[in-house]
Amino acid sequence: MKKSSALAAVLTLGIAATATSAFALENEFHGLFSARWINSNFNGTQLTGLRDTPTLLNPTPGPGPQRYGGNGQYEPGGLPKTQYSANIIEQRARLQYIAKANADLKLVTHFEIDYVYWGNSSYATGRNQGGAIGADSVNFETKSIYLDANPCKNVNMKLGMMPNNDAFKGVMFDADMAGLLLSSSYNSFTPSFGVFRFADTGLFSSDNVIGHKTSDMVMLDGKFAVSKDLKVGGAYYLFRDNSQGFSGPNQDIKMNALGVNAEVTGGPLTLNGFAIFETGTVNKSYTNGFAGNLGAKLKVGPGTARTEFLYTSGDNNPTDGHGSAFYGVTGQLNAEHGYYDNEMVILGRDKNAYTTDNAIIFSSNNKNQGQIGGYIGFDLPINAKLTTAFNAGFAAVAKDNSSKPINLKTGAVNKSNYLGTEINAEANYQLLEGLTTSVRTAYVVLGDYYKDVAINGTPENPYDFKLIFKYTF
Amino acid sequence: MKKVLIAVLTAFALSATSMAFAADATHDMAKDECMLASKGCLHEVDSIQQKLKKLNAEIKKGKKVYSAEELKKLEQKLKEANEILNSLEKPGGGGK
Repeated sequence: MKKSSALAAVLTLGIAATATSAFALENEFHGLFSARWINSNFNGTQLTGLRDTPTLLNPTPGPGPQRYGGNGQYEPGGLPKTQYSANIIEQRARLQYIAKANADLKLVTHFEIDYVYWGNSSYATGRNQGGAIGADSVNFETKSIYLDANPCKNVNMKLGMMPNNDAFKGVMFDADMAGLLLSSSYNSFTPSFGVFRFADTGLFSSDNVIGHKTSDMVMLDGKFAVSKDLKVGGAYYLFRDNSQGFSGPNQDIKMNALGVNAEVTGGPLTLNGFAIFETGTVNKSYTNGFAGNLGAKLKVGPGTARTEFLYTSGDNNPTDGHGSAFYGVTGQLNAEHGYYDNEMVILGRDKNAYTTDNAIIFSSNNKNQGQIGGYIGFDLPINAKLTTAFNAGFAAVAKDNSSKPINLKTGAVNKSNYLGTEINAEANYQLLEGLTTSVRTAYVVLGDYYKDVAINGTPENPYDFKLIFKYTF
Repeated sequence: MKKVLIAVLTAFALSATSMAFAADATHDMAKDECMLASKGCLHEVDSIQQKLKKLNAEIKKGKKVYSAEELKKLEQKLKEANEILNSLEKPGGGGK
């Protein structure tokens, strides 16, 4: 009896010890804090967020989307050519907690708290609010929550709301999305397969049932390392959208996108690029779109010279039933992709933009006009703590259509499709480990696409200056 | 024999206790670096920069220390750590 009691005690202790080790977690806690002063006649002005449209009931409406950081697109048509300069301080924090049970199983969570600008509101409810005295706002955002597991050898599974981006420098999608992504690795070959639900508006549609009116994506992606210096890849995406009131009033999209990409390195030179062919229907309009990119990086002395070229097809008449505009994920999802490799601030999406996120070319589709852009740049590290970069960009729309603003002097649109030329420069200094301060300034000489589109002439050339403090841990 | 064994064990136990007290005494006289400078805190976790540094240092040791399979695992962890940093710094946010 005594012996069996002792054995039971030992077994209990053993089980308890095993259970404790089985539940032991590796906790990872990471985050970011950034505050930036923005001085600009572009961001924070009505050029990037029109006032709400006056109505009979409300002839003097309040500020429009600019109160949320802007509506993305630069729209100077019909507004005064000179704008006051905006002075904004924007703040963002991100918190990430990862609970890792073992090398094969972890839960990833990622949260965000933004003030679109200091002083905007207090005691408020909603994202980006609470930057005024008193704060006390409900402004906590959940970015992603997903399970990352290796259920068997060579297979990784991500399940839940996860960050996911395309294989083409973000020109199609780069966003948090709910779905299942399976990927694998066989020596040099890395295939992946995913299904994602962008939106489900069934409950708010005429069908009154969840799962009927949805916007979904299926993706197949493969990468193959031919050698240490040559990598090739291909991807197929199927977008199917019949949602109501999400990406459009009553969407009917079936779009196939097939793309290839490659990267080759030879000595100090690295070349990369992609080509995407699209075919399908966008609201019953047969659409065949195309996007092509070529990028190069060359080590020169202590620095790196860069060049990028991007073309996306446009459409002169998007409503004639035969579309040729490159389909980027549009509507409410407009901001959920972005091409940042061109290192632009105003002409294209700014890598430093947070909630205040506006550009002359905001999306790949670019209001069905497409784009043709050439960009050059040079990264020059000065020492271990100080780095600098200089860039220039030249961009036009590929095709003009009814989105082109009207020249108010002639009453017709301008012939030129040239949007403008941007020059920008930045310097980043590491104050402490994890804490960086940066300045970045940009200036755009507007092209004749915008000639005399303001009510009193050609809009003033836009500029943007940012002083940024950023801490990551 | 039994008595000798008991004596040895007692001596060992006492010395262990005194060593523990000695360690406590030393500890009492040491500065609390966690309180003072947020260093050496019990259960502290690595920042993303520390994690990247540690992983790079381990990968540098190469095949002298790690097997090919283990190096592959470390490289995967390095990729994941870089992805964490990229996701924290990822621009945009819509705002509409």
